Amino acid sequence: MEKRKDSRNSIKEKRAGYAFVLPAILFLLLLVLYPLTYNITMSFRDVTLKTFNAEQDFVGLKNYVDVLAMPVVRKAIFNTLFFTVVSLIFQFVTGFALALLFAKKYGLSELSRGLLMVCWLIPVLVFATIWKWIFAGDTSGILNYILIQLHVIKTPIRWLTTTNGAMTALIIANIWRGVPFNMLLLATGLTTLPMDVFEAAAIDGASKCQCFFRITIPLLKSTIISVITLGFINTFKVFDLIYVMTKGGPLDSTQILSTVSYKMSFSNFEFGQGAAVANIMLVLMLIVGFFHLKITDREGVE
Amino acid sequence: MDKTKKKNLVYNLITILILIVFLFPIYWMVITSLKTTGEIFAEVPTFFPKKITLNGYISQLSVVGTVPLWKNFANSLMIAAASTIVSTGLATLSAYGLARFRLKLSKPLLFIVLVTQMMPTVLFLSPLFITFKKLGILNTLLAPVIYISLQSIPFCIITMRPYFLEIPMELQEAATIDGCGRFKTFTKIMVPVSYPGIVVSAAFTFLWGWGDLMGALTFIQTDALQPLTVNMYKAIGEFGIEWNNLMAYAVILTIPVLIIFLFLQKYLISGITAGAVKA
Repeated sequence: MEKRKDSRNSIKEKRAGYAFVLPAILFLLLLVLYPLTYNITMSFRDVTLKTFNAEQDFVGLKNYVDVLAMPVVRKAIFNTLFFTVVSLIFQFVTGFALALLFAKKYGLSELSRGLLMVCWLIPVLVFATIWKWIFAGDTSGILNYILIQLHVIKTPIRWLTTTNGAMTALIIANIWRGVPFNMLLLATGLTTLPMDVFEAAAIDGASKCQCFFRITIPLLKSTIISVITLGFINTFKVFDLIYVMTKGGPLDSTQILSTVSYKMSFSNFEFGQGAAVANIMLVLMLIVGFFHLKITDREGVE
Repeated sequence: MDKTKKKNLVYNLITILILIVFLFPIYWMVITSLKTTGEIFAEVPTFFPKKITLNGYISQLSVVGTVPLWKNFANSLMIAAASTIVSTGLATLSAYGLARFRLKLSKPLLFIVLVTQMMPTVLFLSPLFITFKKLGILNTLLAPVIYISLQSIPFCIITMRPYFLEIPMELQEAATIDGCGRFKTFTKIMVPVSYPGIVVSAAFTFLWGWGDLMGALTFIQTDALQPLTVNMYKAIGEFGIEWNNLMAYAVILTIPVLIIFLFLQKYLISGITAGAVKA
């Protein structure tokens, strides 16, 4: 009798649990799965403005073959990876250096941790516009002015109007945005490390450098891994920054996969091709994503 | 001066230097917005305006197309507030369910949430555009709200779940003994106890809704329905290089962010780290 009541209770309990969980999940599933499958079916069909309201022919892999043959798409695959990896390295190293400093206890350490967050919170549109102005190519651009005053360069660099300059400018702006996030997570990780290990190492005569590589890094391993994978995911997602600062130009030199896909769909109205590019990007994303999930899973999601 | 004091002084000096580098763009935005057009294009740029003018702001408030600025402001506010209510509401329930009930599907459901969070949602703009068109909600404020919620719900669930996990079982049992039903336990006990997580989720969603550009730019065509971000984005082309006007606009968009930051700084920092590290 008792048992039966228990199991009835637990069924009720489960129902209640799902009632709490499911609304949000259904919302996500509907809005992710549907576009996802839509993108997949669209990528195998001839969907353009002409065929938009008509019968859309099944074209097999034609869209994929077509887009992969385009120099702009190949360039975009390279750019996406280049932009992500370079941003990631600099963000992480700078973020780590700042974290090591801010994890110490001194007058400005807490305050500055918070203040740097502002860089991360202001709308992307706002910070992209500010950087566009800082990078202005003539002498009115403050960065050129400062660099000339410091004798780093002699003539102003045309940041956003030359192919190499534009990519460099985007990466600098993106690093500026990413550093605070890296710093914050790593600084929090650092403050949770047990102090006695370091004290013991110091007594044993370990140098600062040894302490860092033999103790700090191994102890911080899980934080480091999650910072890097999260950084990858966030950088891979970057779109607005490039859309506002260069729109993929000049001469498509700063096109990444998401900007190419958006351009194909909403400027050229080649929805099938846009979807094919989106799917290529998603596959790249999923490869890294599964790596990330595997790690978070091992760290114990439950 | 003893050694630690000297060390502290060095640390503080380095920190000030770092802050100057990182906060310079924000300083430059404010300064530019207060300059006259002549001074902006002067041979030698000034780090502080010789003549402070509010013209950049006044021209924002007076012209800009046929739609008054307050209308765009109201749209931004509506989009941000609606996204916050939808996302935080749904995510609070879900995070609670995932944290406090023993469900067979907990793990796969959490997996779905994590995968969704990784998705570059920009890639969904074109299928959503087509879907919204069919549903007849294209060109309404609802479209960007759905788009923003799609990105913020996973973040909110992941951020709030650890807060619910930490609530001691005794508290829940005590509530049940006192005759609280499940939903009452949730609203009267669980929500008040874990409010820091809810505050963080709400604050971030609000900021994302406030700063959203692509959702509104893609789904809304009517000028009268556009938020401030789209208006400012269009002004980049329209004004050409009237940087003082543009930076005045940027300042207007940044003010709510600073207000939220000032009041919620502590929660925001702990929220980000809780969600990201514990996932």
